[in-house]
Amino acid sequence: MPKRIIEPLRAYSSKHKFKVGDALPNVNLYENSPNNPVSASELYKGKKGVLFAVVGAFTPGCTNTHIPDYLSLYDKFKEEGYMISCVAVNDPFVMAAWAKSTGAEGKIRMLADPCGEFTKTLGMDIDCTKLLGGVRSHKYSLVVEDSIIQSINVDPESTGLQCLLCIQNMRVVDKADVKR
Amino acid sequence: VGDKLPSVDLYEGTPNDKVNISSFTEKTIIFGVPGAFTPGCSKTHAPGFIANFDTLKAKGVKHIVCVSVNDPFVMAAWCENLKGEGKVRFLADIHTEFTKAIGLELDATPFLGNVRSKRYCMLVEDGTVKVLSVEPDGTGLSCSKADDFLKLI
Repeated sequence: MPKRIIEPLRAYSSKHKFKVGDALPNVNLYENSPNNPVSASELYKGKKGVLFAVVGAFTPGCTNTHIPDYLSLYDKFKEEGYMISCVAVNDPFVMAAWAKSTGAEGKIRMLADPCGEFTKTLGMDIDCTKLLGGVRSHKYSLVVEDSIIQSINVDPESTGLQCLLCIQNMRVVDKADVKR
Repeated sequence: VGDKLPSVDLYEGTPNDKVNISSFTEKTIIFGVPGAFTPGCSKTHAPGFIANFDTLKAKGVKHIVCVSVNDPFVMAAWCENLKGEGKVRFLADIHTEFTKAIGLELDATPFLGNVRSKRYCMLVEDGTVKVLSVEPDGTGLSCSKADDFLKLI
């Protein structure tokens, strides 16, 4: 893999239990109801896109900035053939309601990690017990292709725009490889 | 029934806005739900209290409070979604403190990810529980709905 894609790796600490080249773990996320599991390892099988995580559905930052950011880039992502999904440690009913309320329904797959299993598997859990009542997820985004993590952006850097630039950079690299 | 309400902080709107449950000293209805935005709670239980607001006020009820083990942002969003502003106070029992203090926890880990509250309804007067209806299975909608509870008060 070309060195240029490895640059974003330096943005995160060693707590994180995954790296570029790893496959998404075989852990269930839930879409719309507790009876609708989706394995994270199947989610992007044969597909490419962005999976981003937020601290909490309906929290101000996530609601007023993060989701609208991704929604404003929806058409560009669609053009690139990218599927966008959002993960949070919330129950599936809350995630579904948030999808409707933010207008993300039908554009971003809103996936619940109710017990934080997916989040903990990636080592991206933070203790928000005092403010929100339990363990939540760090904010991060992953570019994924056929279940394999292509790039990682964590915390302040992980806005929708950053992620899109990353994808566009990768395409430039791909084209450069083809020319060779 | 007959117990005094414990002095526990609940949260309204944000994690910094505390409301102590024992501050409701006048005739108050407190109903507990397993989860904001869950089907039963959203389609039947909570709307029932919002719809019966005037009827309950006519019976001398001064405050109607909904408690759930959710974070305060989710509770505030739910209140807005159900148009409950000015009728029902949606208070977040972030740390399950109140729910555990009254012994009505419900382990909803397989479905919702953590311990929640059973579905119940109580009438409190002068800080003392006068009437209490707890759903036998914790989540059903048999005795704690607004129109059922109205018959008891």
